[in-house]
Amino acid sequence: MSRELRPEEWLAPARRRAAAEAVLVWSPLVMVLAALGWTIGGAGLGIGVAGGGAVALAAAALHRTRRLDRGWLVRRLDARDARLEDSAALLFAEAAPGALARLQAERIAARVEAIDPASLADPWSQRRLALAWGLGALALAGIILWQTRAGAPPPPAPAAQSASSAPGAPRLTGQRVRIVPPAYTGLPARFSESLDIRAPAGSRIEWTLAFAPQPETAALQLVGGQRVALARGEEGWTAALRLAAPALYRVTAAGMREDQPAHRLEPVADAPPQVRVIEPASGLATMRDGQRSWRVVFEAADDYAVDRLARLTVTTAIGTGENVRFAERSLTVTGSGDSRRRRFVVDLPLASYGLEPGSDLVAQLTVADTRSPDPQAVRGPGVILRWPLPEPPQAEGLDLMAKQAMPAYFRSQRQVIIDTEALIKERPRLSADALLARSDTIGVDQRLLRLRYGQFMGMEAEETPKPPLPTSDKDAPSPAQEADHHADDGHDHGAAPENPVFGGLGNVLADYGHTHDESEAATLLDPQTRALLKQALDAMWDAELNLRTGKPEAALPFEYKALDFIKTIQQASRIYLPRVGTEQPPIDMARRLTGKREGIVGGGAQLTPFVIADAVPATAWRALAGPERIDLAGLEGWVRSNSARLRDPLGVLAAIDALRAAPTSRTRRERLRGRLWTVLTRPPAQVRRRNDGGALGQRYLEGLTR
Amino acid sequence: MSTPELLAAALVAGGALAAAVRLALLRRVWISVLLAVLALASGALLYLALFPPLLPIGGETLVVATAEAPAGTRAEPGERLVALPEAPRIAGAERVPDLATALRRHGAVRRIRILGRGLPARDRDVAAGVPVDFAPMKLPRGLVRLDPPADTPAGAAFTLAGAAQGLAGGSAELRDPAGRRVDRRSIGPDGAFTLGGTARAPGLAAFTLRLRGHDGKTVSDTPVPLRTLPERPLRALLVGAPSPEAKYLRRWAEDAGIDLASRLEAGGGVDLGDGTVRLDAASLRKADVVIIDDRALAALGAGARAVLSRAVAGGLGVVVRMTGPATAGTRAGWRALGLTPEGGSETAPVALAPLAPDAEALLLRRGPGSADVRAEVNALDDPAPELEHWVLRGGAAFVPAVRDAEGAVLAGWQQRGQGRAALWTVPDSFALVLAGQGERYGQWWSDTLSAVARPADLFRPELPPLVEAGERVTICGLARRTRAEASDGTAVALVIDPAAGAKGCAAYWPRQSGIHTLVQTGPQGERRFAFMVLPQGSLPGIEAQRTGTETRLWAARQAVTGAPTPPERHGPAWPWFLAWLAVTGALWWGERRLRSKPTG
Repeated sequence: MSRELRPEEWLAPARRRAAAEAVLVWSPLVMVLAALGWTIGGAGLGIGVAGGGAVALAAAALHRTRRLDRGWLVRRLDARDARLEDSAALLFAEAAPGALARLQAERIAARVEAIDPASLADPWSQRRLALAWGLGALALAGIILWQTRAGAPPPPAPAAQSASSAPGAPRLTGQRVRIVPPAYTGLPARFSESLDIRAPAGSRIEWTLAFAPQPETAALQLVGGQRVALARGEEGWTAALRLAAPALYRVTAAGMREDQPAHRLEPVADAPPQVRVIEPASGLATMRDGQRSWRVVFEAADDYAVDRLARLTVTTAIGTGENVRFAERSLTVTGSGDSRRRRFVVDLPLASYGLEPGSDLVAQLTVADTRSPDPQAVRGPGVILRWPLPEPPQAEGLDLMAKQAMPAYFRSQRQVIIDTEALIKERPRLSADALLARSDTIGVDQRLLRLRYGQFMGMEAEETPKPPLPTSDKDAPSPAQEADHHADDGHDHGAAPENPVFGGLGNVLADYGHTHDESEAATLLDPQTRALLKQALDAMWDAELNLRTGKPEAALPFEYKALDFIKTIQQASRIYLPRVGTEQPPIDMARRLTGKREGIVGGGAQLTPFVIADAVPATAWRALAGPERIDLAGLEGWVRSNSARLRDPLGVLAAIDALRAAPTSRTRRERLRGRLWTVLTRPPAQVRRRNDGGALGQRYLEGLTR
Repeated sequence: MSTPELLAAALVAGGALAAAVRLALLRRVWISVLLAVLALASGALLYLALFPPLLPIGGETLVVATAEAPAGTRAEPGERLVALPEAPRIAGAERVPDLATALRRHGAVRRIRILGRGLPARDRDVAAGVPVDFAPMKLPRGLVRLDPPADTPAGAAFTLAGAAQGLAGGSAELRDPAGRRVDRRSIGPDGAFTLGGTARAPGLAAFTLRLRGHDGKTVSDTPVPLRTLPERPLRALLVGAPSPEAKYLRRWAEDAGIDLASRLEAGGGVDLGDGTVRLDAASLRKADVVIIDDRALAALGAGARAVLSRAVAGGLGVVVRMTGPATAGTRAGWRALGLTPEGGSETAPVALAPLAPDAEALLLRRGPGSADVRAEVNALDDPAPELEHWVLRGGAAFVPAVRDAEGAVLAGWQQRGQGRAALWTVPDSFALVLAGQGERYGQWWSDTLSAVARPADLFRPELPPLVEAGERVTICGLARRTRAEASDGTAVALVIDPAAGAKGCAAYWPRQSGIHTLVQTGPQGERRFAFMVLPQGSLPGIEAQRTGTETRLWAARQAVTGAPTPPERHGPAWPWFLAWLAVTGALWWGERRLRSKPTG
């Protein structure tokens, strides 16, 4: 049995043929595509398309060879030679055949061997190949033709020269202006139709001009500026210039008349990029419960291109009230999308910022455009993510004035309770005096605490009684104090002032029974908080009273009550902050209250008058109405020095230039006069004097009043 | 009766009488008496044949074709058609150089009928003496009325008004001298519109009024002159308490070139102003205007108030700035200055119109910005401040100087003697400056001070607001030695018409368009006043409208004053001649018979 009849050997020529044919048929398409890619996207895209096409071709070829398998071989052999008696399958069978089958196989093996494996392959499909290559060649030719057409400069346009020239003087007969924008703009070079040029700042402008008859020299004369000589070349007279500042120029040649029309050179400045927040929708976002990350999306747009990399500044403000810590981090983010309109998507992992309730996270994007040199960087709007504080109880009417803050002052009422409880525990071991002394000590603490809280209520914190608040003009403290009291106000009044000495009993009634707090003067707190604070103070008073009289057990409930109130206040507390920025000048103590007013006015306010910066154009504007000559050079200098704030300085300069060529032309004077109106500043509205009407008018008014 | 007529009458009467006497004495028969009567009759008839009696004419109507008369006009029976020079070619019409010529040629005219636009100014001086029929034509499409802006101080806003015919739904645009649009209003069904802009430096500027039709196509471009006059600085005194209003008023006055001295009483004799302001007669004579707030006015003593009142009567302007509601006391203080409005104790919000129709127009009205205030700082859509004003009820003598968008009076003035006193009712107008509308603040104060400031002897000739080349203008308010200079430098001496008297009027016939200047040399030196002459034919619709109106008025005058003098004419002579022939024939025959009869 001829086991050496391996199907791979028989298939190999056919497979090679099939692969070659696939490659040959489809490679023109790949070449055309690569050429297209090259022309449109440059060499990189061309090579990329070619590489991709090669891979695709290889895949297609492989696919074609895969289709040629054992079954195909058997079918092809059987179809090829009737003498094989449809038994080629037996030769290439994989499983061991039966005896009869082996007999038949050996019978036809010799006949099979007589067949050349190469003859099994499909013949070249010449029509397909011809069609593919023909079409491909046509397409390539088209592309090459297009490229050569596009790349070639257009023929010089016929010049529209209005100024009639003397016979024999050179005339501008053709013009071509090529504008090459700076590379960073990504704009292709283009040809301008006219000699008035408006192009991105920094562009290179290349002129090719034709004259007839040929002059000896030619140049581009910038009005009021340099002269760019034109060099004579194969195509004509050429010159180039980099466009930086707006200017006017005219084409001059030896023998040409001077008053050629001026053309504009107008650079278009690169605009800085603009940043817009896409997400979140509003500038202030609130953090949700369990939020892990925060997505911010910015969109930056520019007239040419936005840099792919941008910097995101993340500022965190952690803490509340006065206790806020700021931290700033900066990270680089990469934008996606079209280069003119890039989108920056950032997912900020919140865990890494250590946020707490009440803290803010501000994200701000700084983008730059691709201008070179010195790209323009723009800082976009900030978006804030806020972790809200738990909602405090509302106080109506005062929300606008209040700033939420957690005061850190109320802290030691608990300590008073702990001390009192300790004292009660130790009480059995203490003498009555010692108990009173220790209880009094706690009472002093309680008193200090009460005074501190009392400050918020507006009551005096001093140890010695003072007139309540400087609201009354009375001088002596005691009559004032007495005047505020009435016989029927329901309590006794202490005669002696409070004794501040530690442990001294002092006037207990004056101290504990009544205080001259001016709670109405305390505008620090909203009414509800103040009511709570007053209750807390009442409880503290009672606690202090009991502590100072040596009854800590009786004081304890009040202490707890006070603590409860204070905790409530802490949750509701609103502290009213003074406005900043009202820095008063220092008081001159030497003249205070002397009643002298001399020299207190600091010389009166001296005002700097509004200076109209347009005296030059205004004078010229008036002079242009008549036939007199005007100072064109001075006017031009003024326009040049003020061109930054004017809208169209070139228009004014062109009108000045036109008038200079023909100073008496009435239409040119009118045109310049109209142009000058655009540069005149509007002064503040002045006052019109009215006419007295002469002697007649005065007599008339006198007659009216008679 | 003329001398030949009298002579003929005497001869004929003598002859007839002699014949009659002779015939009567010929025979003593009745027939001779008859013949004598016939002789008298023959004499009478001979006279009548020689001088036929005057007969009233039945009436001839003169049809006058003027500009745009229909070309197919024909004279009806009893009519005579004449065509003025402006008329188009009309077949069968007699060309006449003017109406007076036509009337002279056709004395028998008993009525005039005018066809077309109407009579030009040349013919409206003629008294036709007969009734005139005239029906104005429908006005042409386009601008038919234009009230150009009055003289505007530098930097102030101005308004112009006009009306367009047949352009309802179209729009009116005002373009500045550079051709940029500064205002745009749509034209309502009545065709009227009002446009505004802002003035710049002193001089004459030519704005353009462009009318667009319903489809947006340009219908007409009309030049609109704007005169901005250079002014001598005003001398003003500011008296009151220190306040933001005083601060911004000082700022505006300083910027507007007003020579302002201020007295700002801070109480206790402390003056935060210049310390130079005294309200006595001598210093008030030097001031042009005093701005005083109502409290400072109330705090003046009776003597100082009387001085102020006398100063107003002598020409001083006073602006009383209200800072609080008016009471009977404050109104008494106003009356001392000649201000009689009532009310002033209630407030109403001030309605502010937008500064410009759109943001671009606002930029153009502001002009280029300065280094301190860039042009784009205050945008059109910035919120307007909420202002209030005290509501006044003024009489006819109280003239508004500043009104808000709804017509409420914000400041008004009243005449007293040679001077004027004004009331300013917006207590917090400075908020305009804070809200970025400083130009509106300046405009309001400019309007108020312009209305009341002391009048001055200025060279302000009176002339029509729109002057066209080739048209005669009457200029009044001139003195001798005044000349008119055309834009090309040619000067014409103006001759004062002695008939105009103290008004000092002269005629001027500008030949070319452009800016013409009146130059007057006198004791005050050379004084100049420029005016713009528009190209001929630049106001066709307005001219048509004016011609129609004036012709109608002229026609109405003719009907009233035209004396009914019926024209008469000698009647035909031949009937009388025939009658004379018959009578004389009969006389001849009778006399023959009588003579041939034998006497017996």
